[in-house]
Amino acid sequence: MNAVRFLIFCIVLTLLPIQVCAQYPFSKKIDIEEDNLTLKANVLLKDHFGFLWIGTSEGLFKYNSVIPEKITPDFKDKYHITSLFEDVTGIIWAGCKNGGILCVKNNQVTLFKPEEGLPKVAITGIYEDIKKRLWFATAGEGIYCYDYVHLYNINANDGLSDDYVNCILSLHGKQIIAGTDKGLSFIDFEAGKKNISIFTSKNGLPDNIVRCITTGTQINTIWVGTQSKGISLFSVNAKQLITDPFNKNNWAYGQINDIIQTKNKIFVATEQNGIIEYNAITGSLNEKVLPDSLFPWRIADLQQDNEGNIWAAYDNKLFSFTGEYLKYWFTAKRQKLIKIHTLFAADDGKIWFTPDLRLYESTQENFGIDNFRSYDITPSKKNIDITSLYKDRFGFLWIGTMGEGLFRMNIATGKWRRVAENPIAFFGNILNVTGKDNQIWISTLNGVSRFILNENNYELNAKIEFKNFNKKDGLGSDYIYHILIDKKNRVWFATDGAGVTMLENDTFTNFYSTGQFTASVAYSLAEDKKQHIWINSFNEGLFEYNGSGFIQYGIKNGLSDLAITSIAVDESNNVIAVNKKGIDILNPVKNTVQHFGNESGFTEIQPNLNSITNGQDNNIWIGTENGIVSLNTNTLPIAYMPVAVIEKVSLFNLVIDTSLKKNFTYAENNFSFKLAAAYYKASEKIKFQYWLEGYSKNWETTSDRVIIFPQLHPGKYLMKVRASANDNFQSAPVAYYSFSISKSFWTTWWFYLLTALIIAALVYWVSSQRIKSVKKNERSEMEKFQLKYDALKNQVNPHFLFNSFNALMNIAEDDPKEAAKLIKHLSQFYRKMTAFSKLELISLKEELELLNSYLFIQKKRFGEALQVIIDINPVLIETTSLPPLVLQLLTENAVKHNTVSKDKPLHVDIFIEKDFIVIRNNINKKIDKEESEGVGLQNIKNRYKILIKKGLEKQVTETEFIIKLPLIFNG
Amino acid sequence: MVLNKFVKSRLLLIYVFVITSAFSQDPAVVYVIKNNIVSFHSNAKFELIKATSTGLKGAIDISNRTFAFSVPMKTFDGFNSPLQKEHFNESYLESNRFPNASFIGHIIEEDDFTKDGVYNVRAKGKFTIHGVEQERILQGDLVVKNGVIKLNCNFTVFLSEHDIKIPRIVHEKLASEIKVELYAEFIKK
Repeated sequence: MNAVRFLIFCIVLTLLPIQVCAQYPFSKKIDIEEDNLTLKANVLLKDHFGFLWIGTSEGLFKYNSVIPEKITPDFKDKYHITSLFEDVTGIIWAGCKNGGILCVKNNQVTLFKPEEGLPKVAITGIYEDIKKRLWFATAGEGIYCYDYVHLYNINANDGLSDDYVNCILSLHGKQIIAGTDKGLSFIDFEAGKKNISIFTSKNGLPDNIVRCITTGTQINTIWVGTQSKGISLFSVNAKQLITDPFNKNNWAYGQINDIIQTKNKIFVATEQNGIIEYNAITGSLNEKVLPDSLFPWRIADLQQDNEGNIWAAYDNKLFSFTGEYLKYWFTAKRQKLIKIHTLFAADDGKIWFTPDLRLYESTQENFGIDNFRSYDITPSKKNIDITSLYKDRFGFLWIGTMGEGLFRMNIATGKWRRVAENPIAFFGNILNVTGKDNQIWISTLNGVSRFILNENNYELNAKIEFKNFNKKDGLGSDYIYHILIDKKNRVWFATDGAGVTMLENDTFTNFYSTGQFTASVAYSLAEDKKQHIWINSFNEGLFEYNGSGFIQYGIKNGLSDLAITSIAVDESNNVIAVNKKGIDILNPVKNTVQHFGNESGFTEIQPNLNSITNGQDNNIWIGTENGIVSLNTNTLPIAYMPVAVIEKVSLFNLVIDTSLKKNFTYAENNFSFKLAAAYYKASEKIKFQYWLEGYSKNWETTSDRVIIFPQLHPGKYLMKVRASANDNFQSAPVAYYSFSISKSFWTTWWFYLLTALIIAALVYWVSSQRIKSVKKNERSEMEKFQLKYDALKNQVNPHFLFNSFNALMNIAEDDPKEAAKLIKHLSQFYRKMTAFSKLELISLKEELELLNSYLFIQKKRFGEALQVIIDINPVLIETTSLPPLVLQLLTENAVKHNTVSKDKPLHVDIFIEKDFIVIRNNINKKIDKEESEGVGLQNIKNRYKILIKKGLEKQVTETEFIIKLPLIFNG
Repeated sequence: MVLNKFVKSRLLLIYVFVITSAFSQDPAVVYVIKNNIVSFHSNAKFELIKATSTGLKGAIDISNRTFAFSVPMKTFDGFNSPLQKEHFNESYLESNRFPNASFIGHIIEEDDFTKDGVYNVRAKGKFTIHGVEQERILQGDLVVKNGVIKLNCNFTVFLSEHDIKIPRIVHEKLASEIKVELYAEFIKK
């Protein structure tokens, strides 16, 4: 780059269209709900994550820097939010116009329902005290205090200044301060005792109607905003006003709705006059905080975000402006602040600047308040293009110009002279003027010149000694953009074509030719508190000279652009680099860069080369083609980084409470994470990195705000999220959510164990049952066998056969028909016995048939001596069963064991009693007893036990023998 | 002694009326209780204690929305056993020392109760039981119809707030919160 290029550069800059704006043009407007014109934004809240909450006439919204999202559900009744508060646990409390109160936790809204009921008037303020009690101010019912057990009321009857409370605050969480329609009230409420003191207009309060209160600058002070008398500062300890600047009726802006205090300024939201800026130190007011085109008259509430932007709620919109850290001036005293080619902050706090080829001066603290002083140095033309300014030790201003050479001016008198004694300065192009003590250095397109001041130079017209240096002397180049004299009195030169040159002890060192400095074109120089030298290059970013070598900073360090037009270093060693895209603030220690650029409208204003100066209190002044920018790095949030938050965790689209739920079953495996990070300046620049430990091995970068894991396997997980606006994630804070998904129960060790145990138990049970049933079968087989054996025994019982035949013989002669019958029964009896004895059960009918055959035979033998009466319900005969031959056997036993004679007849009765078949016979013991061991009876008993698990009953008296057989119903 | 207590409770009411009417600008419009039923229950772990009284005395002055209520503790009846009643009166409430429970205060809502209607109201006042006074807000529904005011009110009494000590042994028999239900009908005096 050569001088001609520089000239073209300057000409192009001057030809750019001129924009005229007021002070804070860089506002951002947000529609809370598009097309909803009836919506009114009432209150703003910033939560501990830095997100903004908006209470409106149509519900509660959360603005996570992308779009305001409605939190309250759309019910029939709209929630008209009139107050907002976040308690220490992070629950958002929202007071409604109808007295309702909402609690929002994890973005889920619940209604607050104390037993005492809710106020019926608007909740105007909410605050939490040190005991974590919540205080609710109301418009008409005084104040309520909720201690999580009861809701207490404090109103005018208790000594409150008025029941209409507009605002509520506590400085240390102990005493509650309330602003009412009848003054201030200070409330202590301990152990059921209310102690209230008041401060009203009688005590000197400028206006009894207190609209808002805000913590003041000094300790134990509050700013009080009133209905009609502006703001005043109040000492809470002394209970007296410290300042009330507007008491004497000079507050012209009407009702105050909110006050916020930034580091150095106070912003006041008014009902009819927009936002008023108040400087408490100078007492000055600025009513043109916002450009007229954007000027909403009614500002409901103000809030400062973590980036330092100030947000205002009005109508259905939010807008933001850059607060006090970044300010712009576009006009002053009807003078357009254009073509600011240089700026110079003098040691007396004055700032010199050059709007539209003229020279102006103003005090720094009152900059923009129209008290400018202009100086005429227009020797031959109307205007003069000033490129550089410097104030020497004698208080004279050095003025370097383009094409008009060098001037020295007595500031006090305004008299000036052209420094004509030096030929390279005479009508030359001066690019830079600087100095230290007795030295003044100028740079031109023909090398540099050093002037040495002596006592004579207190006189404006006295000639000044000088010495010129050029390329041949060791400068490396004749085109020098910038000169810096450092603390060690070395002189540095930023050259076009030869990088950086240093003069130390009359020796030039060119770092470009030594190869240490790699950029051929250097634009500007600055020294930091560590006495490192910072250099910006034409297109290779920033360089830091640390005494031994140069460190280069570029895009990878977060710089937004490498074509830097000017640099400055503030008191905290932040390097401010201005480029066409905006301002980068580099913190070399933390390796962070904050950028204010396009999103702040910076590209519109075209910064000029080396038009920068360090003012007081870390105010950096930057001159542009279209205005003056002041950057206050004190009020800048310290290297604000977007903080990632896991806003919502959903399981199958159902939001879960991450504070409570951390363990999931194997089936609960579909997770989605909604991410957010507050970065109101440029939310589209936010990128997230997430790492689900237990699932992936490294960070994933994404611009998505919802991350879905559709099927997570059982295991332990840790979701980590971080955000960055400039791809520098290393220093970004990380948000966590750890959770675990348990294994499906059939893969757990206890399930295996349990299954094994159950199987073992089952096997054991089955086998034992098998053994039992085998044994039972064995036994049953044995019984059957025994029965068969008995029956067989009976079949061959010679007595029975002999007796039968005897009977047959007796009747055969007399009654051959009867004999035939007998033989038929005998054969029937034997056939049935043989057939039935193989069966488990036979019907009672079959048994009775068998018994009849038997009895027929026996009757023939015993005649009247055997009396058998069978009395059984025919239905039961059909429907019941019994083991075969039981009745026959029992009857036979009776016959066997008793004497059967005409004198002593044997009575056998067979009948039903309850659920039993009863066989009853009288006892008439035989003397010659037939041999028997009761095997038969025992056999029957066992049969019954096996069949129906019931035994038979046996009753023996002296006269009767009774057997009761349980009835077995068919099927 | 009994007479003395009776007089005391009467005096309380009279005192309230005098106070309220003295401060109110409007002439007092006083409604007094005709019928009432007050019951409480304690849902403790092992035992439900319930009792009811119809001994509530009280009045509302609807001109300035002030009121006073008082109920003698000994009028509560319907306990599970006579022993329970004895414990209630002697061990917990010490009804001989502190014969009445009372609530005196004013209604927060500025409704006009001369007009028929249903009003959900909150009353702020001094709630006294077991001789310990607590400021409370109680919520209830007032139904005004044809010159009769009907009040329904449910609230909770926390024993600890009124210094009512429960012996550790019966801790699981008596809940620390007692739920009270109150119904009263008022007619113009």
